[in-house]
Amino acid sequence: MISTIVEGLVFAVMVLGVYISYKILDFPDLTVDGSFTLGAAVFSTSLLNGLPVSISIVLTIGAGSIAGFVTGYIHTKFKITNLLSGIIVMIGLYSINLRIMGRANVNLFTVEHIFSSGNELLTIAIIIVVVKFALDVFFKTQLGFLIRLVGDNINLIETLGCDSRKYKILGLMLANALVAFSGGLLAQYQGFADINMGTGMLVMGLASIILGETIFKKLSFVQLSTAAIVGSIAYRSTLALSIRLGFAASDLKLITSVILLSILVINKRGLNIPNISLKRNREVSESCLNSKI
Amino acid sequence: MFEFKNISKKYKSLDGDKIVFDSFNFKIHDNDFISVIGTNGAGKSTLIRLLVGDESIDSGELLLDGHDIKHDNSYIRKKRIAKVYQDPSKGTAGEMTILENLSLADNKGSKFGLKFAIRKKNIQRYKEMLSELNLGLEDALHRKVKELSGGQRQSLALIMATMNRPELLLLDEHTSALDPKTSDIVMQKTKDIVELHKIPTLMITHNLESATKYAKRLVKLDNGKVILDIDIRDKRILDGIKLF
Repeated sequence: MISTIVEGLVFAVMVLGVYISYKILDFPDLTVDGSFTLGAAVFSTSLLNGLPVSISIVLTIGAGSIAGFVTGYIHTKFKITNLLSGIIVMIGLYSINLRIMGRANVNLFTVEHIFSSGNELLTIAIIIVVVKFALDVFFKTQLGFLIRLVGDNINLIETLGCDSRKYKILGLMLANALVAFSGGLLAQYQGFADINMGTGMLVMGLASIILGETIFKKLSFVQLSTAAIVGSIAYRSTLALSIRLGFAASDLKLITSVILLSILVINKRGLNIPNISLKRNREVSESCLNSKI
Repeated sequence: MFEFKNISKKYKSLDGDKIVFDSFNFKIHDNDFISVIGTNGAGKSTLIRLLVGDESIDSGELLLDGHDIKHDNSYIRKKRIAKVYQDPSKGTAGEMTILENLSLADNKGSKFGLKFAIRKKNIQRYKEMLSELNLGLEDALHRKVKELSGGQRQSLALIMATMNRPELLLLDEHTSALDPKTSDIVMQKTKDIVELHKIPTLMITHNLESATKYAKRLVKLDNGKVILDIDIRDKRILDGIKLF
């Protein structure tokens, strides 16, 4: 049970990254599949080369943000569609990740890392609280507001006298930095980094987000980041339950597809689970009914 | 003052080049409220797109207080030129609240950094601005803009476009998507704001009544040429002029 929660929280950092690209930027970013492994590769290689954890984190986040920058630059500079831009970078990252690791699989059993202290749940809980708090605060700043506009009304960014391309790229850098960090965390938690560990990350992230949103409907912006985290844990729990029910590990991709499809169908049919509306929204709705237009 | 000086613009198509403007000259003075009318294809929308930089100019100069802004990026020009679109959803962010939208617009032209976007000290000012609209929006600051009606949303877009007193306000058929009653209310709000803040304004419209009722100057375009340019504050001048 605890290991499922820890895993869910490790992946939640990635889910928050996907949440930024997919929900906030309205950019289905396939770079994620490559930048997750990139994070694992950079973190592992840094630790194995004797660098301290703090420096390794900085390098991992930096590498992820560079991947996001390249995707954003290709998309905005050369007018290549978001899907293709992500695919191009994802494919390129496969070779880069192999070069960074030197081989397809490296283990971290011999080095000290974040989870070496033993209390994995506490460690990852602190990390996720810090990341969530930092993101919630960031998206309340002027810069955060502009990045939110990318997916909401990108023309408004230009109307405000700002270059919309810059903020799309910044958003992708932030998203992929989180994804890479998550990859680095997973490598430490499981004790190894593998060249294929990023495969399917975007779909997993989307499934978690949709699951989280289904559980917490109609919440305010800040609470949606909580929904993404809860969605990640719920998703991992579902997979863990599947294993307990006797499914093979090789069936998990199929189970992911079924989960995703089921949630989407449930949402389409309007099967509302808790409909938590804010009291304040009800009050303002009533006041607006009295308006002239 | 904005000045189109010998502006030429053509669109390329499979059927050959379509010339929209050829050595076009036009001035927008600091106290102008201009209504631009004309049939489809007359060049009204292109005029606005050239001004804000959404379309490039083939040749000629676009002068703002004597400086050619032709090569400035669109977003740089939009720091000084505000635009209200035909579609109410284009001038606002639907997923954000009224307060968040106003806070964004309030910072237009300044640096968007890591300070909190919403400043409590400004909220009372926003409420006062919204209460002037008399639409009840001042009590709905935390409501998402996508939940507002078209008229409410367009009024908010108008406030957002003008709250930093732009050097030019462009209204691109901004009431055409609204019902007649709402259109009148938004049009009156437009006039009030423009007069209060003395914002030079250029309005494209197909509504002749609005064109003559609210503007000071009436311009008619036809095939990229100004065929009528009159001061309409003296309504008698309109008598006997066939506008369409």
